Amino acid sequence: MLTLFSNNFSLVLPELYLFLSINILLMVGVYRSRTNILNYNGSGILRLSLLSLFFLIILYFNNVECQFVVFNYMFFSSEFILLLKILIIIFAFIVTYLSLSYLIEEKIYSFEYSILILLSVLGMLLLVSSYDFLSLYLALELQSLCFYILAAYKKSNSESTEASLKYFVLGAFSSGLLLFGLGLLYGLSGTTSFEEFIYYTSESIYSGEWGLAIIFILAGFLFKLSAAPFHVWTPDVYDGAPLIVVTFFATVAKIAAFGVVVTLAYKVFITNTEFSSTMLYSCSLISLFIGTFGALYQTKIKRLYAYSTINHVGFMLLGLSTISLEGLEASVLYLCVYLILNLTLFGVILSIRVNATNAKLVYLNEFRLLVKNNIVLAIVFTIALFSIAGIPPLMGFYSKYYVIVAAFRSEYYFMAIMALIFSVISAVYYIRLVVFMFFEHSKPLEFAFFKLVPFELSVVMSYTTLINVLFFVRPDNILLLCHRITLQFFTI
Amino acid sequence: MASNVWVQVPLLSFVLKYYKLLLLITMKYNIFPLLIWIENISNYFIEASSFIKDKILLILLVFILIAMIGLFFVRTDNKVRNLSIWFANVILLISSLLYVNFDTYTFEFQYIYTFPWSPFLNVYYTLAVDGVSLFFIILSTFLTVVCILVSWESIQYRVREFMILLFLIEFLLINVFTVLDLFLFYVFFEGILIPMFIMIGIWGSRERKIHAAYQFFLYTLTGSILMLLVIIYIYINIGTTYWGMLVNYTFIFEKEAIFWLAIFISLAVKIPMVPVHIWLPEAHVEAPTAGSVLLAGILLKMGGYGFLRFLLPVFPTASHYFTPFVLVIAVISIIYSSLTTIRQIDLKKIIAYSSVGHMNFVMLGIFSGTVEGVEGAIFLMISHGIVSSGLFMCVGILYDRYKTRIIEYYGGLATKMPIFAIFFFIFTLANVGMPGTSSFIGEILILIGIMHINTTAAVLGFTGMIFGAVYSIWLYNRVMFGSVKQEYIWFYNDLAWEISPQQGIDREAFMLFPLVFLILVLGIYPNLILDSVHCASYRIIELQSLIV
Repeated sequence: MLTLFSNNFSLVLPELYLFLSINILLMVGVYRSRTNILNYNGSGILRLSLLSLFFLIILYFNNVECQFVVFNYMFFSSEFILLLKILIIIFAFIVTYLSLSYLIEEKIYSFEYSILILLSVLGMLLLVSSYDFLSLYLALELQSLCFYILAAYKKSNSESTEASLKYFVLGAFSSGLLLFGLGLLYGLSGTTSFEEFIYYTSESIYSGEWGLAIIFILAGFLFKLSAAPFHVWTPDVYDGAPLIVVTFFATVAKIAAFGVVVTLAYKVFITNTEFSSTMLYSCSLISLFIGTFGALYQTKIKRLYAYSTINHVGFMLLGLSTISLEGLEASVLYLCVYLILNLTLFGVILSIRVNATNAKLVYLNEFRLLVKNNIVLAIVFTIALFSIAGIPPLMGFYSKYYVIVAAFRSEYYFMAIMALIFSVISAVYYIRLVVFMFFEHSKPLEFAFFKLVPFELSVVMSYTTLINVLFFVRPDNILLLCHRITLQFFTI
Repeated sequence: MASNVWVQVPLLSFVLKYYKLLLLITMKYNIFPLLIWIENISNYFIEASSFIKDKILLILLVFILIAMIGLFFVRTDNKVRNLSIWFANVILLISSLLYVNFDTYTFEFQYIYTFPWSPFLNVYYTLAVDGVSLFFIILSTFLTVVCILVSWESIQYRVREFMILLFLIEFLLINVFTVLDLFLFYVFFEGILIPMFIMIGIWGSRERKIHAAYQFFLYTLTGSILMLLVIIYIYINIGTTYWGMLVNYTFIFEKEAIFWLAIFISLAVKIPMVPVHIWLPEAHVEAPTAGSVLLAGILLKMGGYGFLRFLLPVFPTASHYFTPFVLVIAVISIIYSSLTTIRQIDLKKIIAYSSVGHMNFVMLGIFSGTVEGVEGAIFLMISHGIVSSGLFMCVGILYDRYKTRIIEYYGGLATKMPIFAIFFFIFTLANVGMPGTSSFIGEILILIGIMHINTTAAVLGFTGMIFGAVYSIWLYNRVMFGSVKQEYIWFYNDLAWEISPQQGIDREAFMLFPLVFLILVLGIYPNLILDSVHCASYRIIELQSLIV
């Protein structure tokens, strides 16, 4: 019999380490900000949190065992989960690294930012490795609460507060949906543990109530993934929240939500794929539609990114909805490609600041100023845009190709053709940015000097662009990695 | 084999001669020691080539990459121009080695280079050359040199980026024409969209260029997703996209017909055939002269090459089945575009629409199902690549001087610009398809081929030749003869023909000369090309007739 004390704590050492370091950092932060109140800018804590994230990555890479279930079937891990965790920490590390210069520029001098980032990372780590609906819900709330606060982090800006409130209300609503689904499921099966649930459902016959519960649970997480029709918060939050926080939402937060959806669809509800598959399928179609046509009429860059995210989530869900090895593999590849490209795209708008006003570029047609100021940045942006539009031979093309191959394999012909058509239409708004940048000459007296690109941003963007261009040379390694990691879902 | 070498001597000597001419342009001082050095080097290349025969394609591609990377580090515009013309010439020289070492007595692929690009996806990067692709490679390297010369003075804004894009297009083109995998063919075929889109958009001349760039991009992208669907289906159901496997695979007829139609549409956008030709005049008119030369000279040929390489051999039954359909569309395209050409008032649009007509002649040849037809199609594509480039360069010369392309403003140029008038006359005659020019050979071969299978299509299609004479001669008449329109243009200056140390060498006459030379040489002695094309085109017909 498993008890609390018979568990092996060394298996969850990384999470424990993160928890402890958050506490220590919090105390240090409080102490430092009180004693040194005049010239405190919070960057010390930020650097320390970077260090702790770095050690966390090392801890995960040196994990003794990656396949285990501990704490009375509450907490599990596998190779796939480990990959997601490492991705989460790497991207959290990068975003924290980027915020070094951002917070100084924006004059946000409080240390709580880094604490909140670390706490939400802890929430996400617990979320992806939850093995029980209760722990799942608790971890989700830990992560979400941090997100609500982060969205409102620019206190002086009314839009930021508004975005946070919208996010909070809609997030609470989606949590309600999730809880409703969990309640139904508990009533039907009498258990909250995944292990028992899988065991139980292998013999029982599903009915309509089960479907309702599954749909509600998935809806709660698709909300976090900003898949349509649960996407309503995305453009507003992206538009209002501070840019670095949006970068965090668009990259790190998506990994965790993606991981949970995969665990649910491929592990928990695997015995009955009808409901989950149909749900993911229809959400994928709606996301593709809304992400494509919503973005066509946007004039603000952040709203455009929001709709483009919805579009890409549609692609990921298309891969997932096939409930097959190829589909999962393609989705994981798509996720990785999406993360790298989004980092470049957000990096570009993070690094542009008008020298006189310290303002960022907000509207699409302001990007014509970019070419005269910084041609290299414009080229980097162009490569990323063509890539994410899915034009070969860049990286974005292969991920889309792979998803569509998976859809074809599972005989989702309609969906594959729709995805291709939508990707062509969505190419319009990506290349429209290129048109704004290169083809339209700015008016005679229109000129703005930009500040120098911060060192951190240039490092990150150059690496992502290199990966983007050189992926074509040798695609096999990353494909094989995705293949190997997803195999375990189907071998047990 | 020995006789074969003698046959190739004229072109080789031409390459060397042409090379000297280019050197004359780039070097503005006494260069005779250098010429001897260059000759020695090229002789050395030819001797050494037997050792590097397998690696010529790789060397070619690596050289282009080196050129692209090298240009990144050059600052001043003049240095960029000089360096890029040097690189382009060396690349042209290397690609001519492909022709020199080419074995004309076999239809097998030569210069094969394989790289395991992605064993996981079962996609191998296989480069090979046969008679079909050989001249397209040489044409693309040749036209790159021409494009650099064309844009020597007309491109003043972001020269370095322009040259890099030009080399990028060249790189992708050579890959398109040599790669033997359907998936990678698609990748490179689509990849050309990016540099071409940027080239039209940045260096285009007017405000409408944005519209044109969008049209070019979206027409091609929309067309080619159909090809992507077919590729995915083939990849899943057969497990490979390698050409050699697909050729030996027999599809169920219904599926084959659907695949054929999908690939046909995506390639027909590139040709372009009539319902989907709208992008071509727009893109041509708005692109810079070098862009037009590339578009008409070589990008349209990707469609024709796709038909010859993939559509006919892989789907022979469907190709046979759909031949009447293609012939009907091609005939409609020829007549429609010829009639449209007559009514145009923009010089570039005239040439663009006449390109549509000529490329649809090519379609008649490709689908004639005879060796003569296919050979004529390849020959006409090469010839059209030279002729239409020459015409676009002539228009570019006029535009550089007088900043207009509307015919209304020109008249009586023959009296003011006699040397230019002679060049333009030869190109016009070639566009008509006069005997003695290269186009005639291609058109007569296609006529012979198409007569075998369908007299009606032959008669209707070759009304296009008459229309071609109408619009070409009428164009020449309006621009060159009549009264000089002094009220629009005050000062005229002709191309300079002398080489004088004070004024330097006139670039324009020298860049037109090789094109005229090639047109006449190929018109008089077409075996320079046809010898190498025989076997390959015979195989295309053979693969088709085995199954039908």
